[in-house]
Amino acid sequence: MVSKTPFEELVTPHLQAAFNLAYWIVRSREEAEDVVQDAYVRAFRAFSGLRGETAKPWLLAIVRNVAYRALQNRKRAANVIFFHEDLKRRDREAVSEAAAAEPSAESLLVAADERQQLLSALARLSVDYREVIVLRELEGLTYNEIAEAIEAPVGTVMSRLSRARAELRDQVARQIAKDEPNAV
Amino acid sequence: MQCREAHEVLSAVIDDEVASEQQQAAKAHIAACSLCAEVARDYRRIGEQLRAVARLPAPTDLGAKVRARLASEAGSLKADARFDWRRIAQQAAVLVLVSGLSGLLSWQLAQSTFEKHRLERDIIAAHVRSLLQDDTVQIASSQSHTVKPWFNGRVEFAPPVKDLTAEGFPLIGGRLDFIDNRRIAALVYKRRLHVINVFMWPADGENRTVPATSVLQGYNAISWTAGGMTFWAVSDLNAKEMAQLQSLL
Repeated sequence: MVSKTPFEELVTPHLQAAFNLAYWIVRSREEAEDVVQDAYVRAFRAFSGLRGETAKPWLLAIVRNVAYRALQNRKRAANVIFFHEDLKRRDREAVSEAAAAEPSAESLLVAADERQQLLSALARLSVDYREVIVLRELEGLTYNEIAEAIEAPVGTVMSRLSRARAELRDQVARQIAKDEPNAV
Repeated sequence: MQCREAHEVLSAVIDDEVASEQQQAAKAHIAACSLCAEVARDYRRIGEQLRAVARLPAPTDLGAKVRARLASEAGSLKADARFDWRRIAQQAAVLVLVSGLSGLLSWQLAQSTFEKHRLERDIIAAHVRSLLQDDTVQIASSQSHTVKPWFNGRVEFAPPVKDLTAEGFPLIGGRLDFIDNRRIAALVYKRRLHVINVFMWPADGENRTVPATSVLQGYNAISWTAGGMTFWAVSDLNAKEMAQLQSLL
């Protein structure tokens, strides 16, 4: 076992944040677990003495990169597997694979109507928007920290978050309208 | 400030991330404009609700898993350092001394451990090299009757190719690789995100050996001989699932 090293002290408090971000990018608990483990190994290799205050966005940037790679691999693996198969079967399987690969948030967290509306609204956002919402609303990162985590300028963070919030609000409103067609 | 302007900075105002001058102007507008005030209220409410419902608790054993991975990583780094310098230096010293003393016998002995190390290094190098490339395979197919004929004329043996998609190890494809100074067949399987390389070539000695597991630079490896072929499976996948794959091959 590794003794308590500065690395562990710095990054283990962020395990929950790492898992949360990974989950909301890949949207599979199992894959999110793999992503977090891989990200921690990468972080450990790259680690060369960080100041405590920057550990979280630094770590989350690595988690995000590993998660995006996992998304790409999933797409590529799907292509490779269906390489030599007839088109019909390929279409059918691609649909079921997509369904299996993206378990709905509702099935993971069963709760009141409002919660479901909120979760499916978040799940419906594009991943660009979803990640800034997760980093700001769930993790409470500052704009500077978000900029570091998503490797983009602060101005981009600001505008993306603004659009993400507007779209999330629309989605929530739409969900409510769909669930309660007779409500005024 | 007008509604359109206020709208643009609303989100940043809520987060207290705009210059104080703009912040004041926007706040003044929100105080006076019920539409913008409602949007701001919604943003805040949605944020609070998300905090309450969307944080997925990490699995309780994730911390332990991460620590185990880090421990093996740290262990392999240390082992690497030892292997690369002190051990090689010691071995070289012993080799010179002993071979000088007792000639052929000790020479052969040293040669065999050296060969084992070289083989293990080749295996790890081939595995890592495959991960660095865009595609781990030259022939991409999950179908054994597509992959198997591809090796015809490329290697001097017919590698056994099995698709294990149904067992949860989808076959990604195959490629040629070079290990221990010979051309060998490599099959690539996947388990979730983990890539597993299975290297195979005709066995030199015994026809059948029991699987031997080892940890090489943090990777789990299993080697065995069956049906006159030597197999090496390497991955960062856990040892239990590696053993499962070995039993399927």
